[in-house]
Amino acid sequence: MASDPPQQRQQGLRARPSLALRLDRFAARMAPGGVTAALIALLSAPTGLPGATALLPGVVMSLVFFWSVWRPDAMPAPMVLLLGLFMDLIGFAPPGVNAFVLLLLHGVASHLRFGLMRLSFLVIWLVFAVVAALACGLDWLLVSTLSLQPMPSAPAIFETMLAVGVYPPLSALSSRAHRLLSHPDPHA
Amino acid sequence: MIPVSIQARQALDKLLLPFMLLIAVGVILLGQADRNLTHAARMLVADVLSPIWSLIAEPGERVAAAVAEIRGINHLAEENASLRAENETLRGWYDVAVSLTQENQTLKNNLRWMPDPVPSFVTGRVIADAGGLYSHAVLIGAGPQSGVRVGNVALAADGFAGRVTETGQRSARILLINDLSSRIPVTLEASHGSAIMTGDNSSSPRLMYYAQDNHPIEGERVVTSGQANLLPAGLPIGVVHYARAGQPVVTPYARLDHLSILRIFDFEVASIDAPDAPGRVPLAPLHAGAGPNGALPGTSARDGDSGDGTTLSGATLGGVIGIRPHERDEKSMSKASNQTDNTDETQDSDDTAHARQGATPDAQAPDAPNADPSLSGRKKAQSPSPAYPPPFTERG
Repeated sequence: MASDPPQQRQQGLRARPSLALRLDRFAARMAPGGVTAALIALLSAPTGLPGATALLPGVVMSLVFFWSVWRPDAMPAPMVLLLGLFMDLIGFAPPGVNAFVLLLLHGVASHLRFGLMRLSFLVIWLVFAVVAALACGLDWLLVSTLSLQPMPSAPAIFETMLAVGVYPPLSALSSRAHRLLSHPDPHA
Repeated sequence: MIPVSIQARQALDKLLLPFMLLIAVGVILLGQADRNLTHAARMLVADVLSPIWSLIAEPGERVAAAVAEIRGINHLAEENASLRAENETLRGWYDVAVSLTQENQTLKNNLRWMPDPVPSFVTGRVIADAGGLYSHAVLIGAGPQSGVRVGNVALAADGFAGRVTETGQRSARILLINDLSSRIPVTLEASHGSAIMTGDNSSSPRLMYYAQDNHPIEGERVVTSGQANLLPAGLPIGVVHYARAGQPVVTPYARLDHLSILRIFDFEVASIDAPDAPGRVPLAPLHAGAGPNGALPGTSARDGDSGDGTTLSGATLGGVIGIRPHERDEKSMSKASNQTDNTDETQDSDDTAHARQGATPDAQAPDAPNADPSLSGRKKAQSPSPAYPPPFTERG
């Protein structure tokens, strides 16, 4: 009898989280997307970084892929859409192209996530390389179609190589963040 | 939070991605359909972000300058020596420039040269690379408030960099000359040829549509041409370089991948209105024979030959205008047989008009030049050209 009420409380009536806790969860949920958006803005600024424009899609793809695999709650589809649109508007690409490609990447990653999470890093990297190459190819195809002329293919290849190259360091940093950040909604 | 059942939530979660993909496709289609909306959205984002970018750009530049300075310390002595040598050379050039400027001024005064309008310009800092992967453009932190308008010319310290294509409130986008969609009419200074400089996404744009008997020369200067009424003539762009045989490219003076400060010039080229140039020359002034432009070289020569200025009817002109080279030969031969007969001559040119029109033998010759606008266009092109001497001059 004495142990019944606490059990009931745990199951049915969950205590309403405090404001601080809700803010914390909101921040944790928004952190990956916010960091990605900040990186998009930063890499568009004239920092003098060589190949910054070619690096940008790789960075965004790596982050979207990582978070879609490891914590899709923190990288939901609407956020991916917004990131893609932001990238399109900043980069003066045909609007919607990057959003479409990133959403497909997100879909593939979240579809494969339970298979991927059991695999070693190298295999995940390999899978990412294939997916990123396909995404860059699709990007090239869409931009070429929409502007009605074949775009040079060299930037697409360069972009793919940079994306593959930038994944390991970003993945290491993100893993750290993944462990540090509390899960946005542990009870969900 | 609206309370929904677990099943409903799962179903909604599954539908979320397809829904977002649909939105993305919708945005793509909307972007293709309504370019103005796209431009407005882009410039809005750029305007919002431009203060942030400016904050990043300024310290970034300072850091880059500091790094360059630290690197330069190692080579101070060498640099000093080379600068001294360069300074001596430049002093010589300075004297040359001063004397040439004075000579130029004197010549212009003697010729009563119409002075070019002095362009107004603003200087802006490049705050963002607005290019992306498949285009080359930069964003500067100056907008219409500072007088920057679409079509203005952007010059880097050492040469032509691009043109303003979009403006927001506080920022403007400049399409660089190496962008895939950039086409600039240029003049080649040494070979006096003209060409179109086409961006191809590489650092050196290609030269296209130059005359096949006047190829660009390696190392010659490339400047803008005023032909399309788009740009002022003579802005320095770069030098010709043959990367491969038969494929001239322009090595721009401006360092297109490291632009930091741009001057935006308003040359007001568009304000120069060309005089009215209708597609055809009206016939009425030609009848009078007093029109300054109406008198074709051939007609005046003909007048002198036959000595009867009154026979120049519209029919005769109609025959003259559309003549093809082989017809011209026949015509001049037939002319030689009956020089004095005015009526025959009119008849003859009527025939020519018929031969030219082919399908419409009933057409009146006086109407012939008006009936076909392309022919009257040809007339315009032919009449001042020495390459197509009018047929009647061959008679003498």
